[in-house]
Amino acid sequence: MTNSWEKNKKLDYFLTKYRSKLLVFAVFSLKNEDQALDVLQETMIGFVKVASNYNEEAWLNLCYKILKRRIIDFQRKQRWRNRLCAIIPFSQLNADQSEHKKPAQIDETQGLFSDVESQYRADCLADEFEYAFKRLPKRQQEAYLLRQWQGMSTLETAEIMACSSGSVKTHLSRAMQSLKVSLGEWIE
Amino acid sequence: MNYKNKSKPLKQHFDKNLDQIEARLSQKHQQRLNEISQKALQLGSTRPLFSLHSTLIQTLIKPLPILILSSLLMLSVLINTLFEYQNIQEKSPNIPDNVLVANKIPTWVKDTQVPLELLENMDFYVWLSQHDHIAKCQDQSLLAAARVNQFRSRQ
Repeated sequence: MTNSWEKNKKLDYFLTKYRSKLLVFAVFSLKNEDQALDVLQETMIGFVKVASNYNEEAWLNLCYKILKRRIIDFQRKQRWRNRLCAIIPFSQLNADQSEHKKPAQIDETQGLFSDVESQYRADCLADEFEYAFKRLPKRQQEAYLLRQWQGMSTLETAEIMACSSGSVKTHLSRAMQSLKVSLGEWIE
Repeated sequence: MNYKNKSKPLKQHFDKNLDQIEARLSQKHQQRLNEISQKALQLGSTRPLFSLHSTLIQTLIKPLPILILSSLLMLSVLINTLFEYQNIQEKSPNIPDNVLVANKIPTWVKDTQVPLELLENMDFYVWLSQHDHIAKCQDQSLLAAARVNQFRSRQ
């Protein structure tokens, strides 16, 4: 009884700590927040069911693996759904939500910035970064989020992405290069 | 303050932006995230995935598609065989009675090298009935011919 309570407490802490990071990963993969939340729910249920069979150190890796598989499953279902929608002409399910508007460019002619202006520039950089990041290929996004942002090892990242360590390095390097090119004017 | 600061490493900028995105999403969907976590904990603790019951169901469910496919395949093969059999029966020619009788005639009778007077000799058939086993060797014309020669030499 005590074990079960402790286990639940640990799981609750783990989920509270990492759920938003997992959500970010899902949102970038699916490009839709509602769908990402649905997938995250399935992931969490699946994770809680099997978590007791693994060490706590492996939980994050396991959780990302489950999430990745759920995303792939969801995208497969989505593809079938889209095909069906294409067959049925009067379907209302063809709305494309994957388009992103490029954020407004700020005026570069100004020299010194006040605090408000600086904040504005920081916001613009954040928007610019999000836009640039969304434009990256999916694998590069995954490699960046797991390896750089989450600080996972190359091996762990490779395991989650179901590819070799070399591929992870390649994806990451390309992602960094693309981001540097896209945001160079802001950060150099 | 100029935001373009060379001392800040690239990763730090990006991480900060991702953290901002995370915070924004977390704040926006906080209620839903709480609900999800609670639901996961409730469902996860009540239905363990690797219990005996679920593994039994999984082992039963997995061969089901294979079973369905194989039974469908067998059914299609059976139907195909039945149709083929029906077609063969329909296509088989009506052999006239005289042809069927002709098929029963021993080969050595058809053999042109066997003299006609021998075939018309009643003693030959008497001799043949006495040596019945030769009649069974209808298709072995060489053996039959040898027997014919044997009869001729006796005469």
